[in-house]
Parts: sequence; C-alpha cells; structure tokens
Amino acid sequence: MGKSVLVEDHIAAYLQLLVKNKSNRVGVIVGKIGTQRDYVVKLICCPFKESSSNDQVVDSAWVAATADEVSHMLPGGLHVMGIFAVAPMALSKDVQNGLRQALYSTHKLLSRSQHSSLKPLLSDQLQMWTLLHVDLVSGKTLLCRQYDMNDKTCAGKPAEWKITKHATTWIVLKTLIKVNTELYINLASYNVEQQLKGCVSSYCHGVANALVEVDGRIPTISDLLELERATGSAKSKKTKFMPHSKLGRTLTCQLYFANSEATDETVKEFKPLQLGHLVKLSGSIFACAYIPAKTTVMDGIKLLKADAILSLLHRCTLLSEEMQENKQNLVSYEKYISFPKRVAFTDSGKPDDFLYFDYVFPGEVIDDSVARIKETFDTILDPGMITDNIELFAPVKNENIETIIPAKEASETHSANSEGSFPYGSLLAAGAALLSAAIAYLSLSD
Amino acid sequence: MKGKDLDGENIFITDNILHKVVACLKADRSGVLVGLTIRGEILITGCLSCDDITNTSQIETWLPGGISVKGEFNQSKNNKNLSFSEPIFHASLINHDVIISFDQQKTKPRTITLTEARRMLQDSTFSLKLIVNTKVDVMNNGRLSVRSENLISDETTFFVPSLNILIKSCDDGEFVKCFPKSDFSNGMEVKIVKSKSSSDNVAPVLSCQPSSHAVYQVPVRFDGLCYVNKDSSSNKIVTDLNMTLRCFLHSINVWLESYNKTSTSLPVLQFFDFNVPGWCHPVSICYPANQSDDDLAQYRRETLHPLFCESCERPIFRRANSLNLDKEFSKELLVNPHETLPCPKLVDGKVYTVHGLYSYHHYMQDNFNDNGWGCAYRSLQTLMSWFRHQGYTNKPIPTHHEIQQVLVDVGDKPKEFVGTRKWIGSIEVNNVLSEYLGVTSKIMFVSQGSELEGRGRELAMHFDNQGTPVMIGGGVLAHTILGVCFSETSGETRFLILDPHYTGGEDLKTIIDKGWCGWKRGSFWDQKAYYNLCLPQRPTLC
Repeated sequence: MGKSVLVEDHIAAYLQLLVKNKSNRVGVIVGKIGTQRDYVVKLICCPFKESSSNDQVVDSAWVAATADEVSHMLPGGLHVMGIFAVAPMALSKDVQNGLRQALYSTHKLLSRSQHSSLKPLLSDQLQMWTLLHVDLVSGKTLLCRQYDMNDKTCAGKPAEWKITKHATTWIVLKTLIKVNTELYINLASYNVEQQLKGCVSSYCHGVANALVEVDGRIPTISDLLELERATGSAKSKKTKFMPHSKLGRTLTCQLYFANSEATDETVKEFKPLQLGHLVKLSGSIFACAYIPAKTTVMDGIKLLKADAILSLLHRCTLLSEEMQENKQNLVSYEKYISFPKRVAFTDSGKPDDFLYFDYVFPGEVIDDSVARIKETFDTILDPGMITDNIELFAPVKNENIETIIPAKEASETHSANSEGSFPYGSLLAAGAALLSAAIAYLSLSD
Repeated sequence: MKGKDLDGENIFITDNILHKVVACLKADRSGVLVGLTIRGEILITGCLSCDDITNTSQIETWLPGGISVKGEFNQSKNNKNLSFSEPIFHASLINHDVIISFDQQKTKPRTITLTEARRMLQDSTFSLKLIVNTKVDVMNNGRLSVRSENLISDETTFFVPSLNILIKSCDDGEFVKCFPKSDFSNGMEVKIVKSKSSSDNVAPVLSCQPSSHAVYQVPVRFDGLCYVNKDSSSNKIVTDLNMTLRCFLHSINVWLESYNKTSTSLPVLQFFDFNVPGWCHPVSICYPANQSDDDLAQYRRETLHPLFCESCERPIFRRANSLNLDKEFSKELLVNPHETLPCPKLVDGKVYTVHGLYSYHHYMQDNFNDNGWGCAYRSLQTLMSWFRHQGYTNKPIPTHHEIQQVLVDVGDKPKEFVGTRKWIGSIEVNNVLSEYLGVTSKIMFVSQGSELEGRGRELAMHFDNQGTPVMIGGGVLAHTILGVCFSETSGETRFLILDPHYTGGEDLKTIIDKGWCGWKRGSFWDQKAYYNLCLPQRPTLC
C-alpha cells in the first residue's frame, strides 16, 4: 500500500471546506517526512493569481514561488513536503501532470544554493514528496502518490492519505542563541547580500558544529526525545499532557560553540592580512523546532540548528533587499544596522499549536506582518495574535542606531500593536517628512 | 625542630630538588619552589631560579595548571617585588640545612624520592589535558599580541568529550561526586567551548567599520596539562583551567613581543612538553616553528637552563627531548628491554646501568640480512639510538651501507668497502660516532677476556658519569654492554649484555627468556681473546 501520510481531522475538514467552495485550488502541503510515515501539519492554498496567463489549473512557477515564501515562515522540523490540488476528476490528467511538474519545480527552487553549514544538518532529510488530487465534486481522494525528488524520471509510488484523530505528539526544542562575533573581513568585491552572508558565514558554521545542551544535559547519540522525563522523580509520574495533545514537552537548549580547527600542519610562518573591515555583530536569535516523539535527540538538534541558520540567512536576504532598494552598501554604511526580528503566530491563535514566523523591520507595523501572513500563509489573523516579543529591537536610546525603514511603508514609531489598518498611500508623503525628522532627532540626540 | 609542623602543614620535597635549591642558595641565587597543596600538606614538584624575574605571571607561565608557587628561597632575605596570591613560605640555608620559615615558625622539609613524589601526585590528583587547536587573531596595536577574546571570555566553558560533561563554575561540592558513574582517568582531554546562551533577546545588530589593522590569523595548538585535586569543586577546576589557558596565551605573547613591529611574517608557535630532572611532572615550553634547535641554543643556555637550575651539560629542552613529538623512532623496535630484568644476586653488588633510553638493534631488522657479519653495525646502531633518544641529534640511524660510506668518507676504508659484508670493530665504531654525530669516545683495551672482570670498577664509573651504552668487540663477536653490577667487597662483576646476534622478532619475552638481553658472568667472554671497548662520551651541550 505504500507509505502512510497521516492527516489529522482538522486538515481533512479544511479540504472539505475547499471542496464546498467549488473552485479549483492548488496549494502546498507542509509537515514532516519520516522514515516510516509522513505527518501533514498544514495545507496552504496558493493565492489567486490576478491574471492567469494560462488555463492550466496548476501553474508550476506560481506554486514554487508560494512554496518558497511559505518555507521561510516555517519553524525547524516542518518542511514543504508536497503539493495538492482540489479539482474536478474530469481534469485529472492535466491536473496530475501539472502537479507532478510543480513538485519538481518547487523542489528545485527550494533546494537552490544551500549554505555549506546546512549540509551536515539536512543531508539525511528524506526527499519523497507527496502529490495529492482531491475531487472538487465528491471530495474524495483521487490520487495520492509520492515521488523521489532526486530522480526526475521517477514513476512515483502510491501512498495512503490516512485521516486520523491523532497522528503524533510533537516535542518542542527551543533556544535563544547569542549572535556575537567580531571579525576582520574583506568585503570589497561582493554585493550586499553576499557581504551580509559573508559576515554571518562563520557564525553559521559555529551553530552547525555547536555542542548542544538539552534540558540541562549533553545528550548521547542514542538518547531519544521522550514525552516525559525518563528517570523517576515524583514529578515524572504526573502526566502533564493530555494523551492526544499535539504538543508535548518543550525543551530549552543551550548552544556551545567549538573553536574552529586549525588544520594546516606544515606552514611555519604567517603573513599579515589587510582585510579591510571590522564587522561586529551583537544580539540574539530565537530558534525552535518540532520533532515527533521518539526521534533521537541528535536528529532534533540538527533541525533546531538548521532553523537558526536558515532564519539568520533569510534575514540577511531581507536586509539586503531593503538596502539595495535604498541604494545602500555595507562598506559605506556608517552606523549600526538592525536585522529584522522574528515574530511568531499560530494558526488558530491558540497557544498550544505550532509556531510559525514572520520577520519585521524596525519601523514596520504589525499590520504589515498580518498582510504578509494572509497573502503567503492564507491565514487571517488579528494583529494581537502575533507575538512580537520573542525578539526585541535594540532600544532607541543607543547612540547611532540607524534603522533601515522599508521604502514602501513609513512610520514614526515602532509601536507593537497598532490597532486598525493603516492607510498607507495617504501617509506616504507625510511619512517621508516624519522619517527625516526622526533620523535627525536620533542623530542629534547623541 | 625536626618534627615540628608548620600550622599543621608538612612540606614534601624530592631530594633532587632540594639539592638544586642548596646549590642555588650557596651561589646566592634566589628562586621559587612550586607545587600544590594536597589535603593540607604541600608537595613541592619543582623549583625555578628567578633572579631576573620581576613579575609573578612570568613565573606562572612555566607551570602546568594546578601548580603554583608555594615558597621562595633566597639567602640574603632580600624581598623581591614579587607578590603572590597565596601566602608562601621562605627557605634559606642555615648551617648547610634548608630551613623553611612560615609565619614565625621554622621547620625542615621532608625529603622523599621522585618516585614517591610522583605517586603522591598521582594518588591525589587527576590530570586534565586542555586541548586547543584553533586559529587566533594576532593584532598589531603598537605591539603584537593575541586577541585573547578568541579563547578566554565570559563565555569560556570546558567540555570533557570522553565523559560528555561540561565543567561550569556553579557547584560548590566536589566535582567528581556530581558524576558518580564517570570514570575520571588521567590525561582526560578537555576542550574549550563558548557558551552562546543569551540573557536578552535583542534581535541582531551589525556594525561595519573600515579597519586598517593588519591581522595575522595564526594557528595555535597545545595540550596543556592541568592537575586537579580529586576533591576540587568545579569552581576550582574552572579557575585552574582558565589559568592554564592564560599562561599559554602569555607564553605566546612573550614570544610575539620579541618580534619587530615591522615584521612581515610571524612564526607559528609550537608547544613541547619536557621532563626536567627532579620535577614530578612535565613542563611546557614554547618555541617558534621557524627556529631550529641550533637557532634556539642561546635561548636554552641563557634562559631555560638557568631558570630550571640546570647546568648546560646535557640536552633537556631540545625538540628531540620533548615528550610529544612523534619521534620517528621506529615504533617496532623495543626500547630499554633490560628494564624488566631483576638485579643479579651479588653480595654488596651495586648496579650501574645506562642512563635514559635506547632502542634494540639486531640481526635481520629492516628486512636486511646481516646474519653472521653485521653484529658490530647493529651495536653501533644501538649506540646511535641512545643519542637520538636523549636529544643530542635528530639524524636518522644509518644503514649498514651508510655506515660503510662514512668510513670511506673519513678515509678509514677504501671505496670498495661499501656493499661488502666486512666486519668492523670498536675503532670503526669510534670513527663513525665521531664523523656522523660529533661524539668522541674512549677506547678501552683488554688483552685477554679474563681481565674484563677486573675492569668492573672502570665500567661502573663510565656508567655513573657518562651513562652511555658501550660497544665491545673481540674474538669474532661484537656486543653491547648496558651496565655492570660491581661488588666493592668481592670485586666480582656481572655484565648487562644486549646481544645483536638475535635474528627473531621484537618479542620481549623471548629476548629476555633466551638471554638475548641479560646479565652475564665473566665467563661469558672468550677468556683468551683480546677485546676493544668503545665508550662514547657525552658531548657537553644543551
């Protein structure tokens, strides 16, 4: 029968909702590919395209782009694992060919140029992605098949789309890692994104090779993530979690970086290097990962580290986009640059659900985040449902903190929970004036 | 006076160190005694002469972790401007005895042997090996120094991979008791990691400034020993490990300071461990990789040997003497096979043997069939191995043909000699030692084998003063003499023989059981034949 793809009731209900809406939808399947079975955690429909250039139900490039955006919002441990379509049986042939093509396009886009620090962490991730076609008329599963993403000619294997009350309980690993480096670096010949990534590259390797203390101990290779503490204190007898709760224990992790090894034994003398720039990074990043219970602690740690690295690299990309829009360059930049911070939200607003993430620049309002989440994640949230204090911005009082304000929106405050929606267009002119006043104020107040 | 304790403290010192202290005091030199406190008693593990030192941190750089200055010695009660973090005792010579005074009380130290001292150290401490293998930035801010934040900061934490344990300064109780199931053996490796746990959650901030500093990114590699009392708290262990780290950085900085600011290249600094006579534990010394042992001779003569109260007669601090170099000694050859032999039973017999280490060279080694003719060559190779082990030379052991070529080069043999199976004798051995190693030898001649027994005292003196293995050739055989057992009262002599005629493999049991290395009586020698002995003399160098 092939692999079971476990799908909890609420996801099946979501599919039925789509069927009821009577329009063709295509979307991304998010979850975890396991060795024995897969776990689906969320289905995310691709937003409607304004002008559809073709009549195809499945637009590969559009799906891939959506999946790419979605992947940046996911925590560690959860990945894009397939594509689904809700479409009439009559269009099966087209839809299923389209889906298959979209699968490979998406995988190709998502796996482009991975930073080398991620290789040891993610190399053993399985790449059998799921293709699902649900009939728009009857709501029945027409096709559920899995394809090896490393083999374009793969014929695929049937898989079982299995609806279940409770697929597994997830253990949460979370950590707050100090990002503090000081390094001499040569930045001259790169573009802004390469420069930023160059600044964080050795830090990423540090994360990848770090020793991790989980819940106060260094784990051994064979340790498993258990739902309850293994050794008996009286506390362990008290089952804190409902037998079918989605989330089990949350384990706080601490990272310890090892010194990078000096390898060249034969060199006897060293010449001085004029590297040109001193780059200092300070602050912290929040990382988390969701792991099904009974996975080894070491596998869980790899996913936690990957989350931290991917988050930091994505922030470099976002930051470089903003700097390029403002025609700024790292080497000519005089003041401190704030990275965007991570904010968290859950699907349902409920606390015991998976955390997903967005990134907010200082000066952005939460509503921008709400809008992005709606567009990418197909989820409508109140601004209050976004937790924006897992990371904070450096206080304004620090001298010379110049924040990068995204060019599109302008605001004079970084108020966290502004109510109501913001009339962007009419404030643009006023905002520009306020912005320059704000900058002047900040630099004069040193 | 004799049994009186100092505040309940006993001070143990090895006879060798005490001897050095007495010699220094008689020469009006001052210095410090270093060691550690074990359950209220002080074990002195070494001494340093520091007339020129003005700064206590300079002294500490020579010491492994956990070892600190316990006392100072000087004759003229001149208080140097050295201040130490712990109260220390003061030692001086009164009527040829070393008297220790501490807080108005006076006592004599208790003398023990080196073996006893090492045992004391081993029983009450375990040793950690702090491994550092990384690149550090060396900055030129007017003077060259290592950016110590690369290694030491608030974040520095120590990790023991074999036990999967982090050593953090938090507990007050005995560290070892926190991990009852762990096996704390000696020499456990400890690595440095940096804690990245964060106390605030401010999103990252980056600053980028142009910098015209020249930076050297230099590898540093060392294994530093740190002795930890078995009942230490983890706080103490962290303090000791941090101290070890600081001392190493200081050693590097001291060398760097001697490099001109305008130097265009910096050498890699390498650390070596040495056994210093009398010390209970090795010491770590740092040398630049681009200076050879010859380049460093002045440094050894003028700084190291005086510091450790050693004369400049024998090599102690050459790279070849170090404990951690992979010495290119053929790992297959047996070293000092004589050590397991029991002493011969001789009334009033005193044993005099070779000092230090040698390797056993014999027939058929290196897949070279010299059976029947190569015995003197093999004995010569054994003699040469002694000079390599003791650090007098780095030159490789020559093959039979290379030995023959040396004799040709020196004019002793015609060039057709190379490649033959011709025997050599003690004169040729002397010539090769002289030409190849610069070692001179004394030749002893015995007209009959029966006389050898009577030369026991001379041989005993040789082993006492020079301690080098002796090649003896005569009759049709050559052997190596590793020692004698000589009785003053009876005049009887036994000879410790290493026989190069052995053709088997490197099997110690066979070699001992069959007598290829063993104590022989005078009857071992051909009583009628005449014998020549080559007694190599130690070159005086350091």
